[in-house]
Amino acid sequence: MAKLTRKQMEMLNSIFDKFALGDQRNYYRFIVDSYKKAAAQVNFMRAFSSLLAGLSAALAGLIVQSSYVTGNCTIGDPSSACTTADILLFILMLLAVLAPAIGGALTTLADLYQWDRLITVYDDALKNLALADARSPDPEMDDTTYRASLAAFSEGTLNVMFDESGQWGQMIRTPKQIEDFLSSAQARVGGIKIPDLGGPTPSGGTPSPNPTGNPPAGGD
Amino acid sequence: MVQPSKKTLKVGLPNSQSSNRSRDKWPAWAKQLPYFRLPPPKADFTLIDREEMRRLLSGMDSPEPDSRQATVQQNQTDGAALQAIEADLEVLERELIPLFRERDREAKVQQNRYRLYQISFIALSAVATILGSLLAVALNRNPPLVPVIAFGETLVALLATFLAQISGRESPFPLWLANRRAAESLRREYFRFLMHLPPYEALDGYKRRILLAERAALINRGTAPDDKLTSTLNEANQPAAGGD
Repeated sequence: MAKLTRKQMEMLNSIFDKFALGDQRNYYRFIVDSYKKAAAQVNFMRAFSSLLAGLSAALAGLIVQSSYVTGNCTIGDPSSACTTADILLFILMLLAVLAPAIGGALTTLADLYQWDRLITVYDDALKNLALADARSPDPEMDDTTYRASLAAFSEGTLNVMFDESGQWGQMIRTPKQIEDFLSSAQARVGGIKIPDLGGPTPSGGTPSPNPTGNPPAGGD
Repeated sequence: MVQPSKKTLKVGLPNSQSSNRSRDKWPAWAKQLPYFRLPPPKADFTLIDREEMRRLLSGMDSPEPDSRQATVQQNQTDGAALQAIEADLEVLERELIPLFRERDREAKVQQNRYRLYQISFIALSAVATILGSLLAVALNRNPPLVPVIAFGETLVALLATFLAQISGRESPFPLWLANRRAAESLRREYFRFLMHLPPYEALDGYKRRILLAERAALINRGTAPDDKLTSTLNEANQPAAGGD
């Protein structure tokens, strides 16, 4: 920074503080805040789904026991008490089927977004930014010290941004549940028997995309 | 928790190319769900808003000048410093910002695509679980429904395979990561140039501008410029190898 005047350095310090460090700090705070909220909301919904599934199954069991096993109801009984029990049983069974599926979907969603792990990355980056900010130049410094301090401050902030970016990339993974589901779906599709209508016979398994239209190499 | 310095206590929204505010009232988790059609970006997006910068700099404290001549001299110094910074910003707007906008936008598009596919798989997986449970219930209570539910399960598997085929041709995941890395690298390069940090600190004039253009192009191409700090321009100025 040999050619910069004192005034230029002071202006650059203000610009960097607001538009680089300040903006990055706002970003990290915004992300940490929204990820914490999102993780908490999804966790609550997941727990509620489990609770609902368990409660529905237990209540369904109670109704079956009290109305059909020890009670007077039979399936299709037209009496009002039995019709109510039938409807309640249907709703509870539906809930017992839907709630675990929704809970499972929310678990996979949380794995996809990795909120909890990313909060740690951004929170650490926020702390490291505070450390870089501590090196920011002071107006009382002489020109040489000011220059060195400004370089350390800006380089330190850019390094925090670089480190955060690297860690973020390593955290992003496709959830295993999705890979497992796709494998089972492909296995199911592969097992479908196509009636022989005299047309070309598929080579088996799932078709592979062939955007160029060229025949596959190797002849098989 | 971090204790912010006094000058930055006010927390604002981060500067972003996205202009959409339609999900402001949604729950935090739902705000992050992908879009079927990504909202258009801000056309004039840049990393430093000039008007805001001028307002910031005009509010800077200056020592009180002791004479009329000193005031004129100080105004000239301020004007020259601001002019030099504005000139650097012009270069950045021309050489780097278009690439940044492109990479940032592409990263958002690929991230949205990736999440859209993944969430479709999650939804299909949930439907498959529900159908599986219904199938178990139907086996006992309503056997005629069994083939219909089994057909539904096959339909879900077919849809999932179809989506997997589509997403596999130009996989959005590596494209998202590569574009995001390039965009963030360009952002750092922007401030590296503006702050006269290495490798820009010793260069001046057209050499400095060419080095910026070259490094920005390298980042845009996916080559980390830190692996190739010396530009062809610098190499040309270096003495022949073996000198040290």
